[in-house]
Amino acid sequence: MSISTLRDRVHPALVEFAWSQWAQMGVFANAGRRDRWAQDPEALLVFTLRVGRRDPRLFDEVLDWLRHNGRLVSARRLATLCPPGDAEYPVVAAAVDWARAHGSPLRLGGRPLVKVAETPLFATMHVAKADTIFRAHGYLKPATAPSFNSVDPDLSAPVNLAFRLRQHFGLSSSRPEIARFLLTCDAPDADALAIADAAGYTKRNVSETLSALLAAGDVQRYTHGNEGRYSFDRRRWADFLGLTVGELPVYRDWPRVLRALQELDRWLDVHGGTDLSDYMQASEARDLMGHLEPMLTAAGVRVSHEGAGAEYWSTFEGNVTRLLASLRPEPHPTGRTNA
Amino acid sequence: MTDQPFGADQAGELLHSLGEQLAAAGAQFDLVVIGGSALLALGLVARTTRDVDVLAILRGETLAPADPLPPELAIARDRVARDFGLPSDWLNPGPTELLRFGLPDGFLARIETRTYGGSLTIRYASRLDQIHFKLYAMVDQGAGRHEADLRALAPSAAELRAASRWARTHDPSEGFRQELEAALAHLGLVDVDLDA
Repeated sequence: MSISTLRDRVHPALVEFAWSQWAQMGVFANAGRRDRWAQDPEALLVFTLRVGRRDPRLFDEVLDWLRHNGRLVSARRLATLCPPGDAEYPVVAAAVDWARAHGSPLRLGGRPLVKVAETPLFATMHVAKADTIFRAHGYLKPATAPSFNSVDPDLSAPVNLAFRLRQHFGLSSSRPEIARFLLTCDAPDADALAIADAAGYTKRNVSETLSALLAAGDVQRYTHGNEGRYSFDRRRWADFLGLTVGELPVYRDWPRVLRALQELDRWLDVHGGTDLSDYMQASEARDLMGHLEPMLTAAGVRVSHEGAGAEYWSTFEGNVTRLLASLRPEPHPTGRTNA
Repeated sequence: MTDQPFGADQAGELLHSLGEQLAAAGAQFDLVVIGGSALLALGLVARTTRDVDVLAILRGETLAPADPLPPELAIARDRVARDFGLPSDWLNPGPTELLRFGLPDGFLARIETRTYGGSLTIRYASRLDQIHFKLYAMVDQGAGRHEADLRALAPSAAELRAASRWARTHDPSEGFRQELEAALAHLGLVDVDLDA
């Protein structure tokens, strides 16, 4: 399979996945599925503002969602997941500015705008009248009026656990992100570093919040070696949320999975139109996988290295297939114990 | 990583791959290679080898030492090593010291050229020059594969005499002379005038 063939398989799968998630989160679309996992809104937003550039309708409906639901999005996490200098930062900044201009309270701190060369946002769309906000960020995009199609997320849906917890705890602290991780992660407990990593906050910030939650009796802590480990009484928290323990959403390391998919998407865009030999194609793929492997391994996606020279390409395809498989719906639970 | 030896076909594949990596990096090299991989490439022996020995880098008409390998070449070499699971010294400048003492007369006129894409040219030492290098290596490092290679090259008495005289220019010591005479006798050549 050539790079362009793989690209033609991966690109639609990523767009379809983005639609499937946003449809469960309030974007005007037919959901068609109800995932058991808790989604990471900021990671999904950054991911979608990249892959949505191949689907203007998806892109514009997500802009509308951001206009309507910007109050539920954490600017701090967005800046952590997509800091200035990140390849996607300009388009994320443009989207946030557009939503703000149409009523969203979300504001992304960061660099002042500098004049950059203008590039079309959508490769396949002619721009007769460019959107002034996107143009200020260097993108030629057709002028966009809000569709007003978006609605509030259904907070009873597992995928929207982040929003539900933010409604409980507010957006100003790391509490909702800590709670989301400790309620959903596979392990019964975790140390502050792992919690901070998943929450998208600094370890210091998370440690302070954990101390407060501990004082309030909301988390339990025990010491293993020199390390403090924290857990939630899931039964109590499930009761609080009106769920059984088995109904609690499941954890996925979306920041890493979606970041890896973004990098794959970009790589396929860059190399999909080039005429590389079988060997160079495999060698470039090995470069990419070397870069993605820490993310994928941490996210539980198995990475294989089999095959010398050009033979590695089929291994790479297998790695990509496993990565895409991580987007499939979770199987129905067979029982989950309170940890 | 594997330390498995490779044969002529795989050596060719590795060098083609190296050529592709150099092309992708916008670099171009012209290398002079001796040793087992050169013997394989020219079809002079049928065995395997573990590395490609770079004697020199040819720049115009000048042979430049290969040690250290230029960064672009080392990077491309390392990428090939990674891609094929080889040790990073699969291509190395090990024999480049030979340049300091001089090569056999007419060396450059006898080299055989192969290209591996547009960015890599390899100049293989000729059979006669390999006889020189192998005889020297046999005396300097011991028999083993050097003797086997030398016998596979089936040198004539005249070729061994020429190689002996060249080897003496590298090491004029009495000890080396005695070792050289013993090696020549082992190869069936006696009463060679090493001072002529």
